[in-house]
Amino acid sequence: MNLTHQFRRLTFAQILLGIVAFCIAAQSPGMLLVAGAVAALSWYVTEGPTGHPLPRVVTNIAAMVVVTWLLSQLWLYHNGLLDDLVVTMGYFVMWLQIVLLYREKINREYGEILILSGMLMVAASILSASIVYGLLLALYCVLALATALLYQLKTSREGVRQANQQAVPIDRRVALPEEVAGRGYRWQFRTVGGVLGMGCAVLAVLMFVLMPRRPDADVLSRYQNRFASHRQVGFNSQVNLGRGGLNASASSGEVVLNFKITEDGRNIGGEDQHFLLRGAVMDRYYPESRTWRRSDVAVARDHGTLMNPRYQEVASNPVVSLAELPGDVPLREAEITLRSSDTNVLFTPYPLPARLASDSLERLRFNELDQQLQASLRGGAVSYRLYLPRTPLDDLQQRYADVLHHPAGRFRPTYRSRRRPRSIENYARGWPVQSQRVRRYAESVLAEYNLSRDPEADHTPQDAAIAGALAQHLVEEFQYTLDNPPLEHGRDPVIHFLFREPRGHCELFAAAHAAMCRSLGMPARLVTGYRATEYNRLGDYYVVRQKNAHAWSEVYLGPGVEWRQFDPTPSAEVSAEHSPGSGWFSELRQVYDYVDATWVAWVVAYDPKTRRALLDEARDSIVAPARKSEHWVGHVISQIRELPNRWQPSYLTYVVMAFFAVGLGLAVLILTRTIILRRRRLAALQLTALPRARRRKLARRLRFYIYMLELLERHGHVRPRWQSPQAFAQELAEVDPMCFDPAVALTELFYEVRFGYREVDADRRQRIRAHLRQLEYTLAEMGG
Amino acid sequence: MARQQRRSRLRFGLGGWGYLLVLIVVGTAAVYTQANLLFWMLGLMAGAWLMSLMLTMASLRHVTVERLLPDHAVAGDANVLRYQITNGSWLPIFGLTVSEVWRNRGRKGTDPLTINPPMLLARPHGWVMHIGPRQGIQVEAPCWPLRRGRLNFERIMLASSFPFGVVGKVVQVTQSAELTVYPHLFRLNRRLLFTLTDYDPSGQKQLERGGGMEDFFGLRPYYYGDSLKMIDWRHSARTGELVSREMTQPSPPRFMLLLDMRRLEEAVDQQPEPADCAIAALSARLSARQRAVERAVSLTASLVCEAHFRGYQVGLAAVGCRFPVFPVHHSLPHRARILKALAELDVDEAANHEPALPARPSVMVVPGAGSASSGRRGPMGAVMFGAAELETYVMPNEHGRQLLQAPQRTHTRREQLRRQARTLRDAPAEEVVGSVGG
Repeated sequence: MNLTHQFRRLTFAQILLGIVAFCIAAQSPGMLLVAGAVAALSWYVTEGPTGHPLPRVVTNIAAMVVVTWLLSQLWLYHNGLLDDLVVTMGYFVMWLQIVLLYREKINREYGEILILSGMLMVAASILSASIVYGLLLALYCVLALATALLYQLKTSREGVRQANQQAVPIDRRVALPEEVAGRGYRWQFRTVGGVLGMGCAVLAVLMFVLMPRRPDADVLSRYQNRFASHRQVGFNSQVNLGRGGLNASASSGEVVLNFKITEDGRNIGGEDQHFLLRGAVMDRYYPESRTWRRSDVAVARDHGTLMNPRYQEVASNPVVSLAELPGDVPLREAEITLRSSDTNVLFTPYPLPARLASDSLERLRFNELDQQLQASLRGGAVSYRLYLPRTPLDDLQQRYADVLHHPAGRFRPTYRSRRRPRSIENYARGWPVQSQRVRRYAESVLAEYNLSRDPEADHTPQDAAIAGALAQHLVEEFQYTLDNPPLEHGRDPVIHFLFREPRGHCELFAAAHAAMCRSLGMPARLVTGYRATEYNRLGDYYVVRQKNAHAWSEVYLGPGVEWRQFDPTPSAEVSAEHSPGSGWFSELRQVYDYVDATWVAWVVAYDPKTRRALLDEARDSIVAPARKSEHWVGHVISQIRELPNRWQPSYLTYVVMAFFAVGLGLAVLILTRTIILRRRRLAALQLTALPRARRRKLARRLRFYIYMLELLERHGHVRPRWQSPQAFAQELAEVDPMCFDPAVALTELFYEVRFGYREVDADRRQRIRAHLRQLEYTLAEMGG
Repeated sequence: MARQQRRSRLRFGLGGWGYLLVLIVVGTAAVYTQANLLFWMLGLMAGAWLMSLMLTMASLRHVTVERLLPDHAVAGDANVLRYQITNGSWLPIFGLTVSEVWRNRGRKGTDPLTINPPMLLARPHGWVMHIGPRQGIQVEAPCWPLRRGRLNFERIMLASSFPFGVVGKVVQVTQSAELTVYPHLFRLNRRLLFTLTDYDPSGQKQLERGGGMEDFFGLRPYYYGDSLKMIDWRHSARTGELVSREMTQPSPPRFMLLLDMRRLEEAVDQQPEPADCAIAALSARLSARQRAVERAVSLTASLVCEAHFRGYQVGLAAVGCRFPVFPVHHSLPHRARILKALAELDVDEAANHEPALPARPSVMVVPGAGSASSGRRGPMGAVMFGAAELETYVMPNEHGRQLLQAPQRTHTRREQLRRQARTLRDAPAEEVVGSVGG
């Protein structure tokens, strides 16, 4: 083992990996290219065939430049012109170690570089939550382990050289101590390294799991907010129709949330099914600013409750009933994990949630009017469960009111709702811009479907059909684009969409639908959220990305039916736009998403509650695995117990299994025998101390000698372990020179190949065959 | 061998403190930021520390060590101490350092580093990369004694801080031993011995005697028992009597050396500056008297070795100090005995000691200036070699002169230019002009 060379190579790889990991964590591909190239070039400059380190003056100047850059960045940070100090410090550390790479390096420099690399990984760990970084971190740890072991050997060796150097006159140079090593040192070094790594990993897992965390830690939000300045968000809690088009997030693949829906414990999601996850509900259109927003009427109905107070690890009451339901009402359960939410809106798959449970939410706000759920997020991966009635209840609205307005209930009116109580008579009604024209247009559309409606009527039985017809009209007659057509000055975008340019994105479709419904007297509102279409088969959940942001409308169809969703956007185009793709790349992405989600849930977003749950589970599995049949350990045990009863194989199955078992046994036997024989052969040839590659090669070439020994053994001439081949051959020759002459010749060939590094070419092969044949013949003659 | 005492302890060195510091930094960052990946890193680092501690505690448990000393060592020369280390444990050992330890450091007469003058500049260290389970290996540690005498060994220290250098384990094994260190030996100028033989009391460079089997020496009458092959038949036929040929046998020169330590105080002033002495590091710690003694002893030992190497018979006696008398003889054990006696020579023990000499001394070594170069003879008709002129006796291009010269420091380009400028400035005006003109 060339200690120094291996250490240099490993150190370089570790540093390069650290730079790559940090640039990925900092989401800076440009810096990755530049820094990676400069760092990689350092190997050629310093370690290449004609390479030598740069003079210290040059590296000192470069270090000064880096320090000056850091000072300027700190000044910017002090004046509030810089967002993130961790990224800046990371860049500083990274460039400092790149400068050191070009320098002449002794142990001290190597130590500095390794410490800087570790600091870089610390910075990257603060910055990143992605699984890619996690994998790089794992690889880095393996490399760091190997480097640390080699570094220790190298420093101790050079420490001895330095100590010896002090013992000799100053004009004498002491050489480095030789790398004296016993047999099998490579294998033992790897084994010790592997055991150390495993031990470290086990202890790290224990420490990671058991170490207490702050209950109010904003674990995931830090990662989300850090790069918020250059992240595009698809979802908006208010809709501005005046802007030209959707922002760049329309194509962003960043995962927003994972969503899973079950019914009686059965997953009802699938690849051929999609859900609209409602987030913000806007009931009022402001023509001046061309925005849809929540009206004061709605805001005034907000009621809030405290779920899990801050600085309290144990949740006070993580389940909140929004409406008291009869016991026999079948419920659907939706499990949503928010991964990057910039708003305080909670998403629901259906308009009418009945119950909510979460450990992550601090405060919850619910509005009986628009059924919008909002929360004060503690940060981290927010996870919550919603329970929704499978079929709409007639009196659900009243049930909401009973819970929210109950004096002894947990909900209280919010501050704004206490200040500004409003009447809800005109909630979600009326269209403020050219209402007559819009109504006429809507009526003309309805006429095509043989429908009509009295605008003064509150509700009619045909309201569902009317809203559906209007949505169908928009789907068929209007064109879906991601860009809105340019607006003339002073013109309303909805009017422009309906009468001038029949194309635009989903917000315009939804707004136009709501406008037409309202113009006909039906209460309608705009809803923004996400369209969940990408189904992950591995985890059985939906992956919702920024690009899945969507808008649609909800129309009130009267008591008993309540609000119903209508999506007036052409679904084919939207589906094509939101499509996760197909083929192997899509499959790969699904795997990646699943691993990433698991990584985030179990590692990055590990919090006190996960810890508690994990410890509880561990305690249960240790204390009473068999007693608790619902536990997975108990479940597995019970499954094994019941296996003979459940599984009744046929005669053919038994035969196949028997063949399989016999075959497996034979394979194991053959493998074991091969391994034992190989080991014996290596021991007989005394090749165990050689490197593996060399050992194999020589064992193959020297097979003839083994054959010769076996031949001699069969005739009673056994070579003792302590005897060298040469001595054995001489002993044989003394016994009978004529008979054992081939053995002597074969021994000479053995020495040529073993120690002379000669190839077994055609000539030698021929000689070996001839000698063996002669030896066989002679021994047979002797035996006879 | 005395009973081995074994003592082991854990050592938390500088690397350990550095590691602890980094651990604290990462821990603080993890607690402050609550970043779970930092908790992972913290866990890994703490795990590494714990594993390191466990491995270190388990290592070096069943290790035996034996010091394999050479017969002798030579001062000012690289000598090798060997250690046979056997690992009886099931754990392999990596990065093992072997060194010598003296228990009562600082007390006079025991620690070769602290005694005055010191015998060693620093402790000898050996290193072995790996010793497998149930394996034995030999480790070498270079040892560079500064001066002659007896080098006492007390303890062997085995240390390893594998795997991470965070915690180290040190095992000390008491194992006393002693090594005789011969004086500095210089390669003397070849001509010196050749000229020396001119002053042999017999008056010849080399005595040739009959009875050997070398060259033709002469003719003599045949004696009963002579080989028939040696009969010169032509002369026998001519004279009518049997005549035998006699062949020569080599008879190397013999000389008796006398080390005169009587007038040491006079020789002190004649000694060169410490920088020109054998080893600057030692010279700096020697008094002028000690330096004179060491140089005289080294010169004597070098003469003995050179004479032995050339095949001369040599004897040695000393006056002015207690020293055994060695008669003239030529053999390796004889030389070894002389060198050992020189190694243990103590000038301070007894002054004015004048033993009875077995032969008249032909060479006399004195600490001060001698007369070998001038051809003058000493008080007893012997050639006088002065230790103060040691530099003139040694071989110019072989090991000897290099040892005597002070170590040259490598100058940088800037220093060279400064030196040149200083030379020009200090030189007389005409030289400067000349050098410029040239």
